[in-house]
Amino acid sequence: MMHLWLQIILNGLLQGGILGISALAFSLQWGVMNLINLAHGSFQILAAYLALVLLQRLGLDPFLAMPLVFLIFFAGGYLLQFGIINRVVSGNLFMTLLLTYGLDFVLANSMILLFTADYKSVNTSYANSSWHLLGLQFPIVRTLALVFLLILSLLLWLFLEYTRAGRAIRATSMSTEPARLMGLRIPKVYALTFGLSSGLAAVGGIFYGLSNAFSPAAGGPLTVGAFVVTILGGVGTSWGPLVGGIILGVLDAVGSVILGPTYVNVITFGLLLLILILRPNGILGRAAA
Amino acid sequence: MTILQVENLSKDFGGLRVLENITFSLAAGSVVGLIGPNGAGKSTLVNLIAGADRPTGGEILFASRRLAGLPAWRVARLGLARTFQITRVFTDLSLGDNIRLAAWTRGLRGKGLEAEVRRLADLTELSDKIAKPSRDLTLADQKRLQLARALALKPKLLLLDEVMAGLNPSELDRAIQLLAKLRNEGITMLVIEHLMRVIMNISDRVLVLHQGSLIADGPPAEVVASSQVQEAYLGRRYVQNR
Repeated sequence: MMHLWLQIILNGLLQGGILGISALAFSLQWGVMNLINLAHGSFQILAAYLALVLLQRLGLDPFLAMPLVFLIFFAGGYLLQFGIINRVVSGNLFMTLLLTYGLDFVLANSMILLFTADYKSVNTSYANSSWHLLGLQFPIVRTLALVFLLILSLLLWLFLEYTRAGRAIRATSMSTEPARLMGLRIPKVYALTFGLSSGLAAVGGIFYGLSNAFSPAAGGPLTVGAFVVTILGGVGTSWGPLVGGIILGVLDAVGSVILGPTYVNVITFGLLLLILILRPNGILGRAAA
Repeated sequence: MTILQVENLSKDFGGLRVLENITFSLAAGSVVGLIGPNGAGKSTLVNLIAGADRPTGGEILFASRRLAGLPAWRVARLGLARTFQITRVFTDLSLGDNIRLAAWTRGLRGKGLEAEVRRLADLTELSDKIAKPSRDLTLADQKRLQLARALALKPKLLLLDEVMAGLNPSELDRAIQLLAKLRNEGITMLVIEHLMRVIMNISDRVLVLHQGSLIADGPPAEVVASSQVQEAYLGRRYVQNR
């Protein structure tokens, strides 16, 4: 029995890796630009389709395709922010919600046109395989997702702390007015941020496609999951998505066994409410100065 | 040589006119005080010059270049820097990173960048706190940091918005000495200040704003003697008590 519970907790922990990578991108956009990107999940699904096409047409393994997909999404995100989102990002939050909601529609329906509404999955030899250790099963893709989340969180933290571009992003997230009055080009900083987070979302999308069946309509739940994990961990923190992803993953896994899978959403949103009441800035977030 | 020329500058917020046909110029290397009661339009004037806000009418020429329509970052890179009345340092960055970021936008890199960060930290007497998070600095140190960050842009013109507000007498003396140092380096400064001791100490000229209009422009002694300025801002006792 003990062994079974350990496996359930492990499954939740590893699910936290996929949730966390998704939230890493979402949290960066929200923390720096106060942008809640409702198209976030569709970005991830699009990346999963791209990985599938590269696998089927070119025989390119999704892990080998990851740098290419990251770069494509970085470039696309940079241009999208620079050309379109920057026009409304400094205005009312409602405008960016409306814009990204529209973008989500365009992406989801374009994917239906291109790939149909049928469920697909990125099938590789290892997609459904596991490593075995101490009598526990470690699904390969989910284990690697957690490892990637650790690495990406560390790299993001190092980038934001120690590079000039990272410091510019952090300064802009703190206050745009003094940042632009000291010569920073805010539209470029925002484009870099959105490009980077789009690339990260794409990595999360590939992991999602490797471990789940997906269709163009799957973006919505991914956006909601990233939203909850971001609030849990703390908006705009490098390590918040890791903490939030693991907590949500484990609670969902344990809760769905105790209460039944029907109640997973109750656990997710109950936790969200609790955090908003007890610690509104999230577990690692800091109150605004 | 004139570095800043402001001509017939006006600013409306909705139906409210907060600046009315302001015209003045600043000679390169001069230090000019800008005084007036709260709500006179001083910070609005600084915001317009720095490019943080757009004028409703009029012209601003900086080093013979029109500033109208230029984004704030470009104005900053032309050599026009400002500080804020309420300190606006980047609290999650260290003191050194605040200065480093500004010097970087000016194009400095590598050893030159680090040398400039150290020079400015020394100049503003902050070198012992260079690695400290900015949120842990005292108000006086945050004000000095704002100044160091503005100086990192190597400004031709520095706009100082109540840089002395909230300082105790000894901090005030150090701040006045610092401005005197900058003056000796030949930096043109437009200084908004309520403390007349500071204005009288460092200014070559004083501008007085009242209800959005420029009511006086001249040497400090002449301006404080003006009955219109006493009526609008200083009060008659100011001259009697001097």
